[in-house]
Amino acid sequence: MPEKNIVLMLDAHQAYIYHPGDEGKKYSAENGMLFQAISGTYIPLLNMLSSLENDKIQFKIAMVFSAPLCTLLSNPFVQQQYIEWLDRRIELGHKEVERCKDNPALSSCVKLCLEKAKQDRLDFTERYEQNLLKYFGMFAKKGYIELLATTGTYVFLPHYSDMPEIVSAQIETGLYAQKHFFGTSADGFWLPYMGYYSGIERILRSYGVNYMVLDSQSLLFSESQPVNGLFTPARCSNSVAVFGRDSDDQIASDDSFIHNALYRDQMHDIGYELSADQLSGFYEKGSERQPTGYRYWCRSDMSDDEEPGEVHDNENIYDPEKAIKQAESDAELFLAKKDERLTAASGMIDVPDVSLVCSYNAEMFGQVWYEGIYWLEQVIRKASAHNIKITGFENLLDNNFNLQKITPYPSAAFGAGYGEDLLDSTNSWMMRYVRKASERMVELAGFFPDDTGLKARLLNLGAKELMIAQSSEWAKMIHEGWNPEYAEARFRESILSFTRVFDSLGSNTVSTEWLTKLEHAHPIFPWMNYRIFSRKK
Amino acid sequence: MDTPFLTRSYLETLSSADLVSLADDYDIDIPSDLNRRFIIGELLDVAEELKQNKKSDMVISSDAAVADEDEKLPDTYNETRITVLLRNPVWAYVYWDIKESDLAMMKAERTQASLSLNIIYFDELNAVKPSDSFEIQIPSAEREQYVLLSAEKKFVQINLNAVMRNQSQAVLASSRRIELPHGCDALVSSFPGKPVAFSPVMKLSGMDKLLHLHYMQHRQSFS
Repeated sequence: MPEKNIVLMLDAHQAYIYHPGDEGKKYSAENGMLFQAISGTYIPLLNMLSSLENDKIQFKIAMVFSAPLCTLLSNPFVQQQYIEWLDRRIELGHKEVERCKDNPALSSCVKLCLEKAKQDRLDFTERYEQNLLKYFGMFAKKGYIELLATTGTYVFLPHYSDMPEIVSAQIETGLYAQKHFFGTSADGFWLPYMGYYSGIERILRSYGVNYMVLDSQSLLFSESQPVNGLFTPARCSNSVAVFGRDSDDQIASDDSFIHNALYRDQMHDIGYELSADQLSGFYEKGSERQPTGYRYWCRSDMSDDEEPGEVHDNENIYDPEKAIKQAESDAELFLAKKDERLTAASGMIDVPDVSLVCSYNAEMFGQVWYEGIYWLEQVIRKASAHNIKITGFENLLDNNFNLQKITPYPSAAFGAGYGEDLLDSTNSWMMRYVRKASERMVELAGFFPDDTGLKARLLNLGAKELMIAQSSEWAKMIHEGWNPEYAEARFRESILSFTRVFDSLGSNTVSTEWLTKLEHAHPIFPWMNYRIFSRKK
Repeated sequence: MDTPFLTRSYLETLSSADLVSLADDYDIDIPSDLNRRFIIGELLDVAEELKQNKKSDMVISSDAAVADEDEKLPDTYNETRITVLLRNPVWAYVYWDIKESDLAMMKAERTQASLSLNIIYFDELNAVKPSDSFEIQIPSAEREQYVLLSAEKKFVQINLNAVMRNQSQAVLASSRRIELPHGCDALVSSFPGKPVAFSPVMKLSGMDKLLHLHYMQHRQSFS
């Protein structure tokens, strides 16, 4: 009988939102997005890995860390901002203890949140030395994490399918970022939003990429249908292996068990409910409301007649013990369903390994779903009882040439299966600007192949600004209505900066003050060499 | 200006005030909060530029150190061009730009100020003869359009045409020719109520559910 395997793949990404110093106060809501991710996902994930290692559990998960996320996590200003954010949370927690002291059930939730904030501070500063990447890298070296590379910024590559220089530059930057932050090369490549278009495998192969992960429809809708379905990898015509994400997703679907009423309601945060005075110290009065991490209620709906800030009925107050038990039960349910399908597949196909790939945005664990990390740990711990291995992609690839050759169909794990939401009526206007800048960058790289000094600095700045503008996160934010004004301004600023670089090179005139300021404003990709945009000869 | 002294070791010997003064001599605008290391870096870059002694040496300007926050993205790049992007295998997003001289030509022709998109299908990438085509009238102020393509066609090219007074059309710009993706037969032929036979392992992979979801999201677009 074939071995049964599950690949758990986490996509860790963050839009490049960098506002240090005084500017950080103006953009505290935008900055807060990363801080919630550190507290909600990345620290708990490292704690989970430590716990599993201590208990000598055999497993490997797959992860991708985007270059913008790594840049932010490794930036000392951002690290300091996070500590200050935690301090404000702790201070707010003490006020909350006082405010809720007459309600024992609520009070216990407040204390839980406060203790979490204190523990996060301790973990971040002492246990992980403000350097989370170092510890993720250590777990990768020990074999608990298989790291995949991805593009420089989170660009939806199908929008550039006719611009191979742009796709190459993004891939090259991402591969270099992987080496820069983790000191290792990656065999596998993660396409942002899982955006696949036919032919990208040729560019990936030229950089030595061995496999990629696609949405299930890329394999299942292929003209040459995969004989093993999603239970084994297949390969493209040039032998890049392709894994198909399992379409039967028990987490992301509408009827997912993460909506269980016992789980903590992550949208129900006192940051949106208390008065500005009650929140003073955590955020500036008059500024945008933002989550605090103090969430006391489970997913049951709040009744309409309740007032913001009102102490709620105890029936709706979050009970961590019940939620934990539910997470254990859901982990068991998840494994049982996967086991059933893997076992059935084992009887249908004659291969050494059958596998299912379960890929998720990392933010799902701990941020969207508070109990998600605990659930993940339970899945890993309980898998052996089902004779299932939690393993990486590489372990499932012996010889690519033995895999069935298919022609993957275009797909994406966003929009209605093709990334449509990144090109809708709210954000399609961006394409004419970013594609024009992309063309110009390729022209510039060809026109100034050997330049040094100020010109090289200008060109490198232009390359960085272009890559920031190419990030489809701005289009996503505009589509989703999450700080769309910020996303639009950020995009516009990068396009205008690029245009200024272009004009400066054309007129042979540069303002060094402007250049220097912008270089320091965006410390992403310090290694940038604009020549990566050159046409391949 | 003579530059042989502009080496890192020499610059390191200067006081900060002297460095700022030297930067001033070279018309380098240094933000007040920058430290010595950056000023030295700036000076070394200038030295490098001067050393190149090319005709194309850059002129260092002191204007507009800060970008104008109200600066807008351009309305046009003054080029006549049409671009087609596939939003999904059957929907294209088309945008275009028209340069001033073409706009003037259209105005001189006293057209009804109308444009059209000609959607042309081909069987081969380099085929001369189209296999099919259709047209969409566009108000002249429009600059983008979503177009539903036929899932059965192989290649598509979209032309931007100016509709002349005598109803003849002038091609202003043509897009590149794009190959349309083709998947399995079930993708275009299946719909709720029409069972499609798959192998047990394809069913176990979730093919039925995926096809159903695809139909619910795209309806008849793919058929």
